[in-house]
Amino acid sequence: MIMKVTKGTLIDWGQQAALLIIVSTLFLYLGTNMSENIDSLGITTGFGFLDERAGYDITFSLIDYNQNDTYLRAYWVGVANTLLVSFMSIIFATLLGFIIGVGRVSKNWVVSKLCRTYVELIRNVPLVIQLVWWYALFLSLPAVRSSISLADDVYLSNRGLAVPHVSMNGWGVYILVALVVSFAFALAYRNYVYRRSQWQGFHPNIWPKFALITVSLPLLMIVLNVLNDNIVISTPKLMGFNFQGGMTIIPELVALCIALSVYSSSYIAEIVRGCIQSISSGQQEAGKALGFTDHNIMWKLIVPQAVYPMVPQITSVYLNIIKNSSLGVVIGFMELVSSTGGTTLNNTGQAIECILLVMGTYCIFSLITSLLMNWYNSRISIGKS
Amino acid sequence: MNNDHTISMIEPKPAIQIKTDWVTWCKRNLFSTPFNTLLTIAGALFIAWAIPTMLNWFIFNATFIGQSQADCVSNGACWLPVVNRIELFTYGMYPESQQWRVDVAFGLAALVIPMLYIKRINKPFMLTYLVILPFAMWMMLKGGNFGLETISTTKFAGMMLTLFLAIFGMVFALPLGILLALGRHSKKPIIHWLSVTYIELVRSVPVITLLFMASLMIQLFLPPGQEFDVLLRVVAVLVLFTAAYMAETIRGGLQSIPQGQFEAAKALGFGYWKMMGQIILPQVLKNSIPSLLNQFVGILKETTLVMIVGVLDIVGVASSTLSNAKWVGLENEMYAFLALFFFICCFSLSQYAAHLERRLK
Repeated sequence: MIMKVTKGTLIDWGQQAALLIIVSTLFLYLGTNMSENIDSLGITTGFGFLDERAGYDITFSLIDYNQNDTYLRAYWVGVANTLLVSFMSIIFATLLGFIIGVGRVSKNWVVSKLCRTYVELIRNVPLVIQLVWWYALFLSLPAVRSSISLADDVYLSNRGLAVPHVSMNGWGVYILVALVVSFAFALAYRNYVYRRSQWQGFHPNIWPKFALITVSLPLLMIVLNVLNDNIVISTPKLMGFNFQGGMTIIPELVALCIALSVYSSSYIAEIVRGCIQSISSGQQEAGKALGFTDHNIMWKLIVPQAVYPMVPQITSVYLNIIKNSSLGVVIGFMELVSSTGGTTLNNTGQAIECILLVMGTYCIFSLITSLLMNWYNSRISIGKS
Repeated sequence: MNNDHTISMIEPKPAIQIKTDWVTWCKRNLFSTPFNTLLTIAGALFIAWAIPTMLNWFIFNATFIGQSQADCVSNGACWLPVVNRIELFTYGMYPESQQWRVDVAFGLAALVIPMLYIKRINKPFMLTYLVILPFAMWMMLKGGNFGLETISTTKFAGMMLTLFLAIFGMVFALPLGILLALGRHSKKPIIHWLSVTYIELVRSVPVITLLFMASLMIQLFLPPGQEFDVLLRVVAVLVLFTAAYMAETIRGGLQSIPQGQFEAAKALGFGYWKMMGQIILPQVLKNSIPSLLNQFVGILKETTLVMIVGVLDIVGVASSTLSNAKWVGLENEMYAFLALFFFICCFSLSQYAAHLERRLK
């Protein structure tokens, strides 16, 4: 195709070229400044420092780490901690947010007003303040010796939350594999049933069986392993000034998790409320006319329809949770920003590399999330048409 | 044959009385099912416990007068650090004789809020006001001209710094946000993709990393030997960051303008800037006032993060108070005070935004 060159298109491209030139000059200018500064300060550039010995301790890490490991290892510890805290907060925030959101549209006046108060109180106070407050509350808990027992073998003290620890002795991977395999079986079963019942117009409710198939194999493996003492559960016991056995979840993690969950739950609650209210009241009346109970109208009619518009909005809340987990730096929880962006940066002085690394990692997180989101959106839009 | 076609009428029934008295209301809204009754009772018990407890702690059992922590003998809150340092919390280290300048500066800014309410306000006037506002505020706060004493930005702290950061971040982000939104809306590929890249990159990283960048990296990008005030660096980051989010808000507004408006403008021979400036943007901005106000609430909350790079905003003042040996251990009071301050600001602004939004519809 031959493009007709007119005065308009020429001006168009002229403008764009000018913008491009301005932007690249700006970058060039900043770049030359940077290289001059780096030369005068005598900083070596590049990511070579990642292989050096880190030399600092991290109190909580999911993967093995000690201070003789490299900065790269410390970075992975940070990534794992960020993901852990985000994952836990996402789960709690979703549960709490749904409960509050449904409570917000409840016909019960007291409940809906209480939920509204919760949402407004939480949403209008900055997360940092809530976080430091929770952290201060945890630090003001009684010392280990007089710790509060929440349940059997769960203790809360100013050192954190002591819970029983399950040591898998290498069986964890196999159980995970078993879970995947049995989930595949369950999916196959679902497809089989659905294909058979295609012409009925509705599917039988197979979710109990689906869940049963999914957990059967892993559960069997766990039971067998426990009986064979391959999996050992150790419970925290108070010995002297600290707990022996079990696992202690440090107060920083608990505080960050609670603060993030509570803060984000108020946003999720508002989304849930908005989506439920956007389902027209005609649906409710139709349900009533058909003799559905109030409970069934809510859970079988309104909520399933409200879920689709909720998904994109809730995803952006999840992304915010991942981004906000960087506030761990305020209370000294070693996640991505405080390990690589904080301690590593201060120890090595490689500001540009460290910050690029941290930013790049967050970019990848959000890229993956939005790709998943787009995939989900295209799936449900095909299902609809 | 009986030709009598009299139709026997049924006696008219009285209309169903929809009871509106409070007994019916209670039955319907509080005790409709056993489960609901249970919830109501539990909720009522919770309220009956929580409100007196809170009031007692906050007001009735609290200590307001005294000099040191030793004066706090009751089991309520000890508001002495707030009461004794209220000057530091509001004006920071600003010299006492010059504090009227802070009042004037923020009074000027506060005038914008009622202005948004007036429907028939002169738009050019409003825009001019918004353009002049930051410079006027800077002149008042920093001084140096018109016989005003120059005051170092290191004296800025506390509530005034929090509001200063939020207002400056907002006012300077607005034009940048509009440009980015137009860029993203544009059909020209280079402009479009540059805007998209900027917006998405900034939105996908946490503010903290950007603030770290401001405090550690910006120095490297400047010509050697040039110093840059830490406060201005933080404001610059807030502006760059807010602009990306604002661009998305304004883009939403752009998309809600019917295509016919663009076509009509083109048909009348308007060029791009005339079309945008005189037809499209006035509508977009008017419709996005509520969301822009909510964005302001967002920045106000984000400003609390500057504490991390060592700028003494109200949170910074609070934590320096807590590390003072005289007031150690008063975390609950300090954080409750901060929470109350932000709650009052943010809640009233977001309610106002919601009100404006309802009025627009």
